[in-house]
Amino acid sequence: MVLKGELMSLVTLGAVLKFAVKIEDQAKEFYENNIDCEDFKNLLPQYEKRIKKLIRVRRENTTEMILEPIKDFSPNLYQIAQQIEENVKSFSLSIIGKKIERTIGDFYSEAAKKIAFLSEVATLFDDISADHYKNSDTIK
Amino acid sequence: MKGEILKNYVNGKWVESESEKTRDVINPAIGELLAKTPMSTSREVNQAIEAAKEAFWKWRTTPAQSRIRYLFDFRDALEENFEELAEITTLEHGKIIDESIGEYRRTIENVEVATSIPSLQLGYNFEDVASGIDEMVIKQPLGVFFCVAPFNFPAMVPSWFWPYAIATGNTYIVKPSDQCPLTMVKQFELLDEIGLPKGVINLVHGGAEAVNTLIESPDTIGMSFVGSTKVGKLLYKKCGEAGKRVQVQGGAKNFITVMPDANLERTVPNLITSFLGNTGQRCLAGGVLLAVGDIYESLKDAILESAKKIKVGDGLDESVHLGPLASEAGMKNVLRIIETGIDEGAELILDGRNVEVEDKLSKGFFIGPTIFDKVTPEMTIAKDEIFGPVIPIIQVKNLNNAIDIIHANPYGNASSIFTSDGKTAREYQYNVRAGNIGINVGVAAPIATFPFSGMKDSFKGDLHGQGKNAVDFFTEEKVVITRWF
Repeated sequence: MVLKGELMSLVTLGAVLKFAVKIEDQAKEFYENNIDCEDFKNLLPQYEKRIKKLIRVRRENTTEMILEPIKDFSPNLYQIAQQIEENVKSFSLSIIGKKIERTIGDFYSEAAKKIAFLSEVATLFDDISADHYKNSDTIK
Repeated sequence: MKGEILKNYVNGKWVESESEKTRDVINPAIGELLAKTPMSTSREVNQAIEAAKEAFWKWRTTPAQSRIRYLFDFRDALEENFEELAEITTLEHGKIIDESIGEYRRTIENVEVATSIPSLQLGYNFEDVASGIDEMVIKQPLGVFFCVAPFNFPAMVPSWFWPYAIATGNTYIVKPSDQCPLTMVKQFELLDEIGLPKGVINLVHGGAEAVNTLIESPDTIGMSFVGSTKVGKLLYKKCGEAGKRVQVQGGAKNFITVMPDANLERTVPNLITSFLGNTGQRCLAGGVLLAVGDIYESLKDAILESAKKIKVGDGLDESVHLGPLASEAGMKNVLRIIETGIDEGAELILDGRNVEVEDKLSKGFFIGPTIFDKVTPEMTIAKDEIFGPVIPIIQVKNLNNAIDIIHANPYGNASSIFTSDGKTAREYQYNVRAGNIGINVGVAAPIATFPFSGMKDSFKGDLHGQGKNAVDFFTEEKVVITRWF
């Protein structure tokens, strides 16, 4: 779906999940472009799986009963494409990979708090956050 | 697509309407023409009835397991086209994209429940009701049914009915909203692709002439209607006179009671969703906020603060909380009611008129969140359905006062209470005469296995849409008593 407008703030569950897919895609693209790095290659299968899962959650959990607005959640701290662009000349690939994983982990950690009213999705976000932090530690 | 006159889908084919009368379908966010809905003639409607009647016997004798496989295919088609479907609904209705996604989730859920027909349509039997005599009940389909659908949930509401109707072996005619018909047109394109036998399901656009023809035909069995109470009562009477089965879901004025012990942090976002979601155009939308006792001031401040943060704009923009009203007429009606609220002495503490939107949306039908304080039960804004993003607040002394106000209103579609006390919640659920009760839930929308209930002037009929109620509506019970010599 082509959506109009900039994501000034993540105000709905749909917007949070769409942004999650967007940054996962951006990270995945970076790893695919640097597939010679063994650590990155190993990360790709989990990205495929996670993106599918997020798309499913967006469809399944955006229900009429619980379309509550989300407050004060800015995506600015978690712009992965921008982070890659800013770091690519100054840091090694592995350091960029670590930063990416930590940033995405931070995003899910914050998102879980913002959507605490949907405990099932919040738990999933906490789990995904933990996966990304773990990835950050595994990249050498 | 722009300006195209939509076609009917009759007997497995898309056919142009012979009618010269049309209604414009407008994108309410930008005020631009999307398509034109033909006002089909009686002759065209009768052709659809004839096609459905012709298809009935063969379809009725098709095993249920085979019938529902078409619904499995349709369900898959809805999932495959999910994003496009949701976007079409937002385009023609204006609701934000998450709301369209939520609407389609429930639509798919109804199709899924209808695939359980081999279980849901089971009859029952009993041996030896007298010596050597057995008795059984068979639930049989009846023939041609139709629905007259509203604009506010153009995808979901028809799904309360038609999947159950055809799964049980009936044939069907959908008369979609003439204001928001594109949603059903897209669904029928998918139905066409899955290859249901011709005539089993038909789509006829139109207005009063089409509806009257459907009701007056001796070949239709029953009607499902969702819309205003005024029109609903009229059609209920006409259906009664014509001997039809009928279920009429009418208007609403849903009272939301907030007790002093409510968890405000969790309650306020729920209230915002309830009153402002779908831009207030839900039959389950919060209609009046009853603030009980000393929570009044803090609740009012919290809801005002939250409502001020709501961003209004195009529903396709994911940074937006609140889309436009679905039509210019709807917007004007809400503006008129706001004026009435002011004239009758309510205090306008948040004015959504002339809300600021992007320049490109200047022709859209926008009203921002609007809050009235110092409302009394006699005021128009406390009694009539507004169908817009307006929150009237009434301060009440205690729960009994709240229930008295609720019961004085003729509607009984839904009501919610926010409280931390189980006994209070039970008392509310037990006493309040409304069809859908929410306990700490602002939008008491039943899932597809439960009936979408409604009471008093909000519903006329016996059986509701969705789930087992729908199965009973679309079948009749035949008793067979058997003795073998």
